[in-house]
Amino acid sequence: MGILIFLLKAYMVFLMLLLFLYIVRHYFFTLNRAFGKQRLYYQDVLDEDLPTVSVLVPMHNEEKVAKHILDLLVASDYPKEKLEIIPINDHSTDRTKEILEEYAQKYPFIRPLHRYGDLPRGKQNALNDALKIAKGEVIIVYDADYLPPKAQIRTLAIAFKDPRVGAVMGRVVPINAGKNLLTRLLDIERSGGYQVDQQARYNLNLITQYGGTVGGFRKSVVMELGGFDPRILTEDTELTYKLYLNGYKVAYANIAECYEEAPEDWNARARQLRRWSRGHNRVMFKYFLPTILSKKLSFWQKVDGLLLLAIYMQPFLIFLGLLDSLLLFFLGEMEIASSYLFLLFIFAHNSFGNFAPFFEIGTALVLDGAKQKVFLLPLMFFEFIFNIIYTSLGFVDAVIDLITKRTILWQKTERFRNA
Amino acid sequence: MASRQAYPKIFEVEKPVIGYARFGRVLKFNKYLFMLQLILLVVVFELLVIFFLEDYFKILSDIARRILEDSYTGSYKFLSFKLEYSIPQGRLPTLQESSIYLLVSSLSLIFLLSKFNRLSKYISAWLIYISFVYFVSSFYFVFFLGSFPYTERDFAMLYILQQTGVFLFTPILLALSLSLFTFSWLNLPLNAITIALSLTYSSVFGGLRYIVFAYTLKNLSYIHMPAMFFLFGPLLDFIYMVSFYSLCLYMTTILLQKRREVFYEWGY
Repeated sequence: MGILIFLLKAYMVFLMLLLFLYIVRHYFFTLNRAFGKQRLYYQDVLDEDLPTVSVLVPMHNEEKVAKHILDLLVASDYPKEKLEIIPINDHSTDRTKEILEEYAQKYPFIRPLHRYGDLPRGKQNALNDALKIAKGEVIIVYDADYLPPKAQIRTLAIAFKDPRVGAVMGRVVPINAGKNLLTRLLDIERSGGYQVDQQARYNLNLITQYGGTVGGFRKSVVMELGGFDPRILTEDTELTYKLYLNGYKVAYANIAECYEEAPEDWNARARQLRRWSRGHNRVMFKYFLPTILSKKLSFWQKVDGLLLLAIYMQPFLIFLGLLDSLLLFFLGEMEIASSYLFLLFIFAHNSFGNFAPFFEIGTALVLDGAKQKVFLLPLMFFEFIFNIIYTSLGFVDAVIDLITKRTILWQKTERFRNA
Repeated sequence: MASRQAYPKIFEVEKPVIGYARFGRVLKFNKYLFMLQLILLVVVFELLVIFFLEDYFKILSDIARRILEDSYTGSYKFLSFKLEYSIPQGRLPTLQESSIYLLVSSLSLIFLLSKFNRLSKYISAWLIYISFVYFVSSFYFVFFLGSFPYTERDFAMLYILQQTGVFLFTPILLALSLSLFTFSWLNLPLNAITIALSLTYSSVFGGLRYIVFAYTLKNLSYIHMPAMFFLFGPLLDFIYMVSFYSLCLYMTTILLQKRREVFYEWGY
C-alpha cells in the first residue's frame, strides 16, 4: 500500500510540474506577443515573379459551401496564368460533383479531381492524390467552408520567396461567432491561439504550426519528404514536424485572416476535438523521439516542439490526475492531497478553452480590440470537462490505432451554412 | 511659396488615419511599471491576507457556532497561524443510503453514456463528472464504510487549508495576469480593485460554502464530502476569479478604445 501511495503522490507531483511548465510557457508567449518586437512577415515583399500556385480544396459532401469558396477563389487577384484551383471531390454523394463540373466548364483554371471507388477517403489521402496532378510550385490549401479574401493567395505565396520557408500559415477567424455559446467560445479560443500563441512562436523562432488550411507548402519539399502519412488524421501537424526536422521553417502570416465556419453544435465539436486529438497524438508517437534527437532543431525549438506534441495528451493526464486525487482522498491522504487540490485550480487554469490559460486569451482579445467578448472568459468553464473527455477519448483512439494498426476513417466536420 | 506650404497641409488633411492594424499591433509597455505593479500588488495583498487570516477564521468560526447547533470549536496550526474553526459532528451514511446513491449514480452514468442521452454534450460532460464523483463515493461507502479515514475535524482542517490556499494564490495569479497592462496610471488602481474584489468575494463565498458544507455533513452525510472538494471546491473559486479578471479586462479595453493610438503601437 505504501508503494501505491508513493506512486500516486509521485504522479501528482509530476503532473503539477508539467502543468506549471505549460503555464510558464503560455505566460512567456503572452509577454512576447503583447510587448515584444514582432517578427515581420513577408507581406511587404514586392516581386512580380510570383510562384505558380495550386489551390487545393478537399471536399466531401460540400454542396452547402462549395459555391461560396469557389466564387471567392475565382475573384482572387493572383495572376490567373500562375494559378490553378483543384477542388478535390472526395467520395461526395450530394451535388458537390455537379457544382464542381459547372465551375470547371466556366473557368479553365479550375480542374476538379474526383475520387471515388476503392480510393481511401480522408483529407490526407485526397491531398496525396492531388499533389500528383498539381502543377504549382506552391500548394495553398483551404477547407471547403473557408472564405478567402481577394489578396490572400498572394500574401501566403510570397513567403516562399524565402528558400527556408517550407510552409506558411494564416489566421483563422470564425464567421459565425455570434451564432451561439459554442461558436463564441471557439472564436475567443482562436484569438488566443493565433493572435498570441502562433505569433509568439513565430517571433521566438520556435515551432510555428502549419494548420492545414489558410496555409500552404512548397510542393517539391513535401513530395521529397514522401507526402502525407495516410495513417495520420492531422496531416498538418505531421507536416509541421517533418519540415522542422528537415531544416525548413513555417512562416506565420497574422495579416492573412480568413473566415471559417466554426462548429455550431456540441456533437460536431466533440467529433472534431476527438479527431484532432487522435491525429495529434499519433504525430506525437511518431515524432517525439526524432524531435529530441534532431540535429536541425535548437534547444528551445526542441522544448517547444515536445510541449506542442504533448498538448493533446495533457487533458488525458489531467483526467488521470483527477482519478489519482480521488484515490488519494479515499486512502486518507487528503491532508497531503489538499495541497494537491490546488491542482484542480491549476487544472482549470490550464484547461479553460483549448488548453490555453485565460490570460493568453484575455490578452489576445485586448490586442484584437474586442470589448464585450472578454465577458465570455469565465464561460469557458463549460468546456472544461467536455475538453477533458473528448480529447482523452482521442488519445485512447490514437493508442489503439498504434497497437492494432487499424484502418482510420476520416470524419468530416458538419457544415451549418445555408446553401 | 504659399502654395509650397499649402501642399503638405492639404496632404496631411487628406491623409487617412492609419490605425495600428490588429495583426501587428502591440501594447505600450513599461517594464518598470510592470515590475512595480507586480511587486506592489503581490506584496500588499499577500500581507493583507496574512494579517487578516486568523481573524477571518475566528469570525467564520463564531458565525458557524451560532448557525450550526451542537458544534464544537477547535484550532488548526498552519505555519505560525492558529486558525480557529467550529464544526458539528458529521454523520456516516447508512448502507441503505449509500446503496441508493450508488444505484442513482450508476443509472445516471449509464444514461449519460448511452445513445438515448439527448442532452447537450457540455452539460452531459459535467453531469458525467458529477455522477462519477458520487459513484466512487457511494461505492466506497457501500463496501468500505468502516475504513472512512476522516472525521468532521479533518474536514474543517482540510477546508481551512484549501481556503487559505485560495487566499494566497489569488493575488499572485491575478497580479501576474493584470500587471501586463501598464499604459495608464489607472491600471494600478483598476488591478488593485480587481484583486480586492476577488478576495472579498472569496471571503464571503468561502464562508458561506463552509457553513453549507458543515450543515450537509451534519444533516446529510459524509457521502457528499468528495463532491465538496472535487466539484464545489477550487474549481468554483477559479470561475469567479476569472470573472473579475474579465471585468477588469473590459474596463481596460474601454480605456484602449477611447485612446487607442496612445496604447497601441507597431510591433516591428
